Amino acid sequence: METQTSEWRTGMSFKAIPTTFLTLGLVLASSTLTCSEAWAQKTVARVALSGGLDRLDPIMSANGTDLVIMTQIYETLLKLDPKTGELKPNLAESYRLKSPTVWELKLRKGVKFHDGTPLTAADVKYTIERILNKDLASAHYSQLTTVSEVRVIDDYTVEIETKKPDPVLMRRMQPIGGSGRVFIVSKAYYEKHSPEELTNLPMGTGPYKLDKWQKGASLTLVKNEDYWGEAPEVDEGVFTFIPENSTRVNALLQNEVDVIQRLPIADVERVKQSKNAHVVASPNGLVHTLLLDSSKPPFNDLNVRKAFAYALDTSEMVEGLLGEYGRVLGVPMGPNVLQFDSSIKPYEYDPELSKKLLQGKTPIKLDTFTSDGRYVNDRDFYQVVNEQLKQVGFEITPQTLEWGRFINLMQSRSGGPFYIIGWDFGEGDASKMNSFLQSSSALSVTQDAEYDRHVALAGEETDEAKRTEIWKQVQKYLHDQYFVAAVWQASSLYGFSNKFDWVANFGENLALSEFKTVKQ
Amino acid sequence: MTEAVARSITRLRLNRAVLALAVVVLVVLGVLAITGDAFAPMDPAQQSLRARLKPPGFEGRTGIHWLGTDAVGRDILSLIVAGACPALLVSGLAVALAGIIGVLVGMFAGFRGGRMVDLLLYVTNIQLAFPFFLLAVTIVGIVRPSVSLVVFVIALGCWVPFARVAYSETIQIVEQEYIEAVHVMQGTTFRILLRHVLPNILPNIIVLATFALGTAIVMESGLSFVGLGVPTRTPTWGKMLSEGRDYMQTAWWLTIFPGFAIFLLVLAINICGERLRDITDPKLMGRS
Repeated sequence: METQTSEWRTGMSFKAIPTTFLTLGLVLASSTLTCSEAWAQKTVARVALSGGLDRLDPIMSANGTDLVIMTQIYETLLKLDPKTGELKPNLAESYRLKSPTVWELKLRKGVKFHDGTPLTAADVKYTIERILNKDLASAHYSQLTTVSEVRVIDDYTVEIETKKPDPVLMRRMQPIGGSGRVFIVSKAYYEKHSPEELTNLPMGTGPYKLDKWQKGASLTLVKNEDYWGEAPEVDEGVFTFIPENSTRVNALLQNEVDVIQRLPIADVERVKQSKNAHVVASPNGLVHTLLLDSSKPPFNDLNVRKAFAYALDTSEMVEGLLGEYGRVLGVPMGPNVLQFDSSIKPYEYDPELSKKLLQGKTPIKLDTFTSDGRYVNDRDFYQVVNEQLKQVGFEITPQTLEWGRFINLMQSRSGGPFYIIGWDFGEGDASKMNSFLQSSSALSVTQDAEYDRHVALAGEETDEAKRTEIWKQVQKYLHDQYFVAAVWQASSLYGFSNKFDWVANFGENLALSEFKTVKQ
Repeated sequence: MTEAVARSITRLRLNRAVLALAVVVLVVLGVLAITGDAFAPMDPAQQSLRARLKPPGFEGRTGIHWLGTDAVGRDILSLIVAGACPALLVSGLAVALAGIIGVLVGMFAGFRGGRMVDLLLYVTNIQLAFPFFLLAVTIVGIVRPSVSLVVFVIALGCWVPFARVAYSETIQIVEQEYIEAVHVMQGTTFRILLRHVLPNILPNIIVLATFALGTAIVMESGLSFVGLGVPTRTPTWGKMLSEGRDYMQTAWWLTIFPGFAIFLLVLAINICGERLRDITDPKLMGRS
């Protein structure tokens, strides 16, 4: 001990010690001051998403996780009012139907892209024409095929002409649930950059712009200082990707992130009881449909479809697996949809009837595919369904597939005899059903001429009341045909740090600009 | 000195006790594997959404769930009992297949020598360099999983040690008895191998087989964990681990019990394997 102390003493000058400590103290104090000053001025929200990013080119991508980022950076011409579901001005100040096949939109003046260039009608024309460019295979192409021409009348006036009257076109182009959502891009920017650059360097008119993106690790968005609309409270958004459920929840509870997407129901209580986080829920989540492939045996037989539907105790299944965060529906659309027919009830649970209908046909052996983790408790849903089907004479051999591969198979109509897909009906119109029921849709395993005929009529009908009437008939027809064996809607669940609060108006649309900071 | 002796006696007694326990575990699990779900307290496939994710000791409609229930209300204890069959059957068949093929190939190479040896070494080195799991996932990912496919894939991951041991043992025997073998040329190679070589290498092969069984069980659990295991009506132990992952902090019994079952089985196999090796090792034979 003695030797050590003496070594220490000889190694350092006596006077230096208090001076060092003083300087250190001053440096630390001043840096903490500046740090806290800086932090006090900048509100950062750290968001953990449940999936990875693919590409951020809004013309090409309709991937859920990409959309979360793209909705902060890009904007559409119109948006939806959360309370009434009506279309409201956004980039377009006003819109009207000039004639049954011509829409006229007047653009807002003074809107600038993140690079400073102004938004004009030429950008709108360019965006829509690019989506309709068959060579590019845009994800939104099929939703805009009624468009025949886009005309620039002046810098702030656009005319969109359709081949036949298409009363729902404007609604399909807005961002919520819209499969034909049209985020306006800059013509000059797109003409200057290659397709690869465009997927990595998104640039729009929205409240946030891309700061940096480290692929696979994180993506940072910063506030657009020149945004035309209301300034958001959150200055910066840092997005990370945590696909593993329990890891994501733990990250929230340990204050590593402020917001998590897709909070599993099993962890709701934990988050509710935690001191630093709370649950944000919206009943307007995905509408899950249990689709039957009626284009092939055995489900091309109405009685087999009927037997399938009655073999399932859907209310008990939804009640047991989702509890207060799920509800059974009688028709394959969200209750927020204008044309939703609440008089049609879900199928009853009647396994005896199923057995009777399947007499002489059992056992029906089916090889199926299932998903695991794509939708809320999907693995459990499939297990319950398979077991209930076994009771009436179906023998299911399931195989779990990774979602990317599964959706590819579905798009070539080889996803198996039945499976679950969830749909966002946020746009509020029944025509969304065409995505999975109209013969021409890639994801439809229902090839029914009668359905196609009806929805074609509905598609052209401009009188709202008459349209609703046609859609109600369609719903009755679907119910009697058993194309969709079960429907339920699950709430969208998020975990939020107590530093922020948010009202989830549209279940799946996580908008940073809507976050409110909470004084702690 | 007396202390040392006392300590070794205690160790010996402990070792014996541990071995006895391991044997008991193996016998019990073996019986369960053969009888399937006959000894399960409840029907393992019975679902009950009202009784889902209940902790151990929960009293359900048909009795007490001693180890709790899973995400769709199945009894965990019954699932574990039912899971012994796929765990042991699939691994057992895989090891048998790997053993037969590996030993035959190894013996042949050891006897014939020459180009066969080069081929053997070449093939085994390539396969050993390739990570098993990647190989398994690739194969099973392309073809639909089935019992035979999984058995084949696991056997593919296990046969190399058998071939190598059989090869090196065969060489030694052949070198020693080569002169006599020349006189016994009345038989075909196969007969010589079967009658003269195999019985001598068998003890080592059996020991190897027990350790391979442990590895095979872990491989099977691993494949089930990623969803590429044998398709069964109720989840196997590996699948139970995978399904319970989401609930590790809210319903720990979904993962702890099947995990413990896998651990216990492999541990018991390894203890017995070691004892077998001690018995068959001529250097240690005197000590026991």
